[in-house]
Amino acid sequence: MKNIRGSKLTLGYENTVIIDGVSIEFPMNKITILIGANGCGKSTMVRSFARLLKPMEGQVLLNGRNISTMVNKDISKELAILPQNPIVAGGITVKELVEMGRFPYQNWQNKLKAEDKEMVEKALKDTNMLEFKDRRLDSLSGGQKQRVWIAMVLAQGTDIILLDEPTTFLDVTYQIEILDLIYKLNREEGKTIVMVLHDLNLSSRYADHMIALKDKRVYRQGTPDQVVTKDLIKDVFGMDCEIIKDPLYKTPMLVPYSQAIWSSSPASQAI
Amino acid sequence: MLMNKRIVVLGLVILAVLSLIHIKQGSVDLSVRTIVGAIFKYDQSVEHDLIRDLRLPRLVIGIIAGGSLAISGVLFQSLMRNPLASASTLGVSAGSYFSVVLFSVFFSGFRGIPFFPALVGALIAAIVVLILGRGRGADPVRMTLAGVALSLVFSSMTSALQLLFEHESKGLFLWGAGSLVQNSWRGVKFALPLVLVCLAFSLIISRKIDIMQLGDDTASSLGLNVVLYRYIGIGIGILATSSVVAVVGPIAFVGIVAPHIVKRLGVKKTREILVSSFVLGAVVLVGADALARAFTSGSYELPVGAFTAIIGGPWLIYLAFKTGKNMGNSSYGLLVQTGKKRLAYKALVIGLCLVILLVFVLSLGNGGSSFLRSATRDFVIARIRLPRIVTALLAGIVLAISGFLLQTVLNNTLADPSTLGVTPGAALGALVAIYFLKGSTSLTISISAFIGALAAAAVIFIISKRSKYNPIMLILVGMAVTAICDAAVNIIVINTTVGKSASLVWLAGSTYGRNWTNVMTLLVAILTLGPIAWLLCRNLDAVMLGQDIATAIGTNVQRIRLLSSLVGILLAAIGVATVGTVGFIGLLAPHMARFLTGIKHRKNLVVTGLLGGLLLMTADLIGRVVIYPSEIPSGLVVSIIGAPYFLWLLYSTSKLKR
Ligand SMILES: Nc1ncnc2c1ncn2[C@@H]1O[C@H](COP(=O)(O)OP(=O)(O)OP(=O)(O)O)[C@@H](O)[C@H]1O
Ligand SMILES: [Mg+2]
Repeated sequence: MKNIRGSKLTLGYENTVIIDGVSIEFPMNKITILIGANGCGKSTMVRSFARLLKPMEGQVLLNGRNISTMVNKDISKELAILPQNPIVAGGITVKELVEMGRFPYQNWQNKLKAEDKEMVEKALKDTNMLEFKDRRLDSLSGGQKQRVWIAMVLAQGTDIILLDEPTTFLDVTYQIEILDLIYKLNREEGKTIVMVLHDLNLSSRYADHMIALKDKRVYRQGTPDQVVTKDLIKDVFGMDCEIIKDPLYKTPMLVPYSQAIWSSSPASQAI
Repeated sequence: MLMNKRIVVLGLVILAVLSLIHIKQGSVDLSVRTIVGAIFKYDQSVEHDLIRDLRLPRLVIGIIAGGSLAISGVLFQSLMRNPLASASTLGVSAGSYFSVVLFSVFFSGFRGIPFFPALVGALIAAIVVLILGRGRGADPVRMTLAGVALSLVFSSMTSALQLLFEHESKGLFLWGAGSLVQNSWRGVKFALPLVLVCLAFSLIISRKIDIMQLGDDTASSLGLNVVLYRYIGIGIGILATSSVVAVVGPIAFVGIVAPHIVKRLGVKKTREILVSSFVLGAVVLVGADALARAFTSGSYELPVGAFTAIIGGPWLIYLAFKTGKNMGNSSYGLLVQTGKKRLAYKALVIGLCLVILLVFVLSLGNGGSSFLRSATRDFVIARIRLPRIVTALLAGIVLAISGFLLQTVLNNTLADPSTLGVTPGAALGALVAIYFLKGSTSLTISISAFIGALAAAAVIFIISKRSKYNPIMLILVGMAVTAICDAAVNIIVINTTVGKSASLVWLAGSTYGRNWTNVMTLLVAILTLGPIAWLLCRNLDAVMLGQDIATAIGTNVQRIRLLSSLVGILLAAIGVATVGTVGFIGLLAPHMARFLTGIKHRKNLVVTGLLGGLLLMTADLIGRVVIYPSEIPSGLVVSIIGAPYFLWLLYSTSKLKR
C-alpha cells in the first residue's frame, strides 16, 4: 500500500515558522494540486514531503514509515521531486541529465542496464525531447529545459511524483501538453501526483483534489468545485472574482475583476 | 554629524597617544622632553637627529600610508559595490609589487622611489580584475575571487623573479612584506602631496558617490555620469594605493579594516566616511607598527605588513562570516565549461598515456649530463633523475585530483589547494621545520608541511562549517588563512639568514632532489585514495546537480561532501608536502579535463590525473633544461605556463550563464 502523508508538520527556516502543525494526506493515485498566494509556503511544504527540508516538528510518513529514518536511496525509488527553479551546470547534455534519473537504480559500477535505457528513452519521448537528446542544456530555451527536468523526474520511475510549478516558463501549448502528460501518467499508470500550480483554471481542470494554503495552515481542501469558490479566492488571494463553468469541461473557472477597469468602464457594470 | 565629529576627535586623540608611544620605541630610549625638544627646539644633538631623521619620518609615513590605504579602500568598496574590495583583496597591491620587482630587476641601479612601476602594476591589476569581475553584473564575490586568483598569479610571478634574480631583488624582500622603516624624509616628501591630492579629490566627488549608492540606474536618471565618476573614483583609489606601495610596500587589510569599523560605528555619508577612515587607517597602521615593534627587540624587524595581515586575517574571517550568512547557501550545481565537441574517451586516455611516455623518455635523456661517461650516466639516471621524474608525475596526479575533488565538493571551479589556504599552511609548516627543528631532513620537512596543510584545512573547514560550507565563505576564509600563513612565512624568512634560498626554493615548489621515499609516499597515496575517489565519483555526478536534486535522486550529499573533501585535502597535503607549493595544477588539469571529456566525474578523474602528471613532469623537464646548469623550480614553470591560461579561463567563465 503506497501512500504519503504528513503528521502534525511544523515547517520553517531558522526561527520563522511557515507551516504550523498541519496534518495532511495526499490521496493515492490521484492528482493533488496545492494553491495559495506567493510565499505562503507551497514550495516549503512540497520540499519537506520530499525530505529536502527537515520538519521543525512532526514527521512525513511514506508508506507508514518515517521518511527521516529511511535510506535516502530507497526514498528515491518511491518518490521523485522537481524543485522550483532547478539550476544546473551548463556543460551537461539532455541525455546525461535524464540518465541521472536512473541514479538510484545503479550500483557502484555506474552502468546503465537495458531497463534504465528504456526508461530514459520513454521519458524523453513522453516529453517530446528525443530530438534534443544530444544538445547541451544551456543551449535550450527555458521551456525546453523545464521539459528536460520533467523527463529526468519521469525517468526515476517512481509511484509518487512531486512537482513544484512544472509549467513555469512554458508557453500555453506546452503547459497543456505537460499537464496532459501528467494526467495520462496518472490515469494510465496510476501515479500519485502532487503539484503546485498557479493557474487556477487549469488547476480546476486537472485536479482530483485541491488544497488551499493560508496563514500557515490548510485553509480548505476538496474537489475543485468545493475549493475554487468566490469566497475562498477572496480570502486566500484577496481578490474579487466571479466563478463560472468552464465551457469545455464544466470545471470551475475564474473571471477576476480588475480594480481599475471596474471603476471606469461602463461595460463592466453589466455583469 | 555630532557623532561623526566625536569619532574623528577620538581617533585623533588615540592617534596622538599612539604616535608618542611609537616615537619612543626603538633601540635608544628617549624621554618625552627630548621628543618635544627635537620637534620644536632642534639642537643638532644625536638624539634630536635620531628623532628627526628616523623616528619621525617612520611615524609620519605610517600616518600617511594608513590614511591613504583606508581612503582607497572606501573608494573601491563603494564604487565597486563590494564590501570586500580593497587594494589587497583585488590584487592591486600584488600587481603593483610585481611591477616594482620587475622594474628593479631590469634597472637595478635605480635608487629613487619606484612610483611609476607601482602605478602601472596597480593599474593593470585593477583593469584586469574589473574585466574579470564584470560577468553577471558586478558580483562582489566573483570580483573578489578574481582578485584572489590574480594575486596568486602576480605573487607566483614575483617569486619567480626573486628566485631567478636573487641578487637584484635582494633588497626588496623587507619592502615586499610591507615595512615603515625610513631613514630620511624622502618617502614622506614624495607621498604626502600625492595622498593629499587623492584625499582632496575624493572629498570633492564624495557627493556623487553618495548618489551612486542608490544604484546606477537611479543615479543616471538623476543626471549623474555614473561611468565617468566610477572610473575617476577608482583611479583616485589606485593612485592613493600605488603612491603608498611605492614607499612602504604592499600592506594588507588596512583598506578593509578601517572603513568597516567606521561604517559599523554608524557613519553614513561618504565624505564623513572618508575623513574618519583616514584617521582610523592611520590609527590602525601606526598601532600595528607600534605593536610589531613591541614584540621585537634589537635588530629584528617585524614587517608591519605581516603584522596587519595577522590582525586583519581574522577580521576578514569575521566579515566573511557576516556577509556569508546573508548570501544564503547556494543550492546551485557546479558551473563548468565544457568543449563544444568531446573527444572519444578511450582515444584520449591512450593518447595522453603516449604523450606522458614520450615526455618521460625525453626527461630521462635530457638534463645536461650527456657528457658523462656511460657508467656514471646510468648511475645519475637511476639514482637521481628517475625518482625525480616519477615524483613529478605522481605529485602532478595527486595535486590535480585533489583540486578536482575539492571543486565539485565546494561547488566552485576556482577551488584548489592553493586558493583554499592548504598550500600556504604547508609552506608555513615546512619553514617551521627548516628553521626551528635542528638537523631537519627532507622527511621531517615533509611531515611538518603535511601537518601544516592539515591544520590549515582544519581551520578553514571548522570555521566555514556554520555556513554549511558555503563556497564563498570557504574562499574568503581560505584567503584569510593564506594571508596569515604568508605573513608568518615572511616574518621567518626576513628574520633569519641561514637557509633562505633553500626555503625560497621550497616555497617556489621544487622537484629537485626527490628520492624513492617520495615516490613511495605518493604511490601509496594514489593507490589507496585514488580508488576511493573513483568510487566517490559516481555520487559526485549527482552532487554536481546541486543539493536538492542530488538528494532527490538518492545521494547522501553531506556524507559524500565530507568524504570527498577528506580525500581531497589528504591528497593535497601529501602532494604539497612532497613537492612544495606547486599551485595551479589543481586548477588547470580539471578544467582541461572537463573541456575535453564533458562532465562525467569518473572519466574526468582519470583524464585530470593524467593531465596533472603530464603538466608537472613537463614543467620539471623545462625547468631543468632551459637555463642549465641552473634550474627553475618546477612550481614556477607551472605558474608561468598556468597563469595566462588561468586568466583566460577566469575571463571566459565570467561570461558563462546559469
Ligand atoms: N531558504 C529559506 N530561508 C528562509 N526563508 C525562506 C527560505 N525559503 C523560503 N523562505 C520563506 O518562506 C516562505 C514560504 O516560501 P515558499 O517558497 O514555500 O513559498 P511559495 O508558496 O512556494 O511561494 P511561490 O508561489 O512564490 O513559489 C516565504 O515567505 C519565503 O520568504
Ligand atoms: Mg514556490
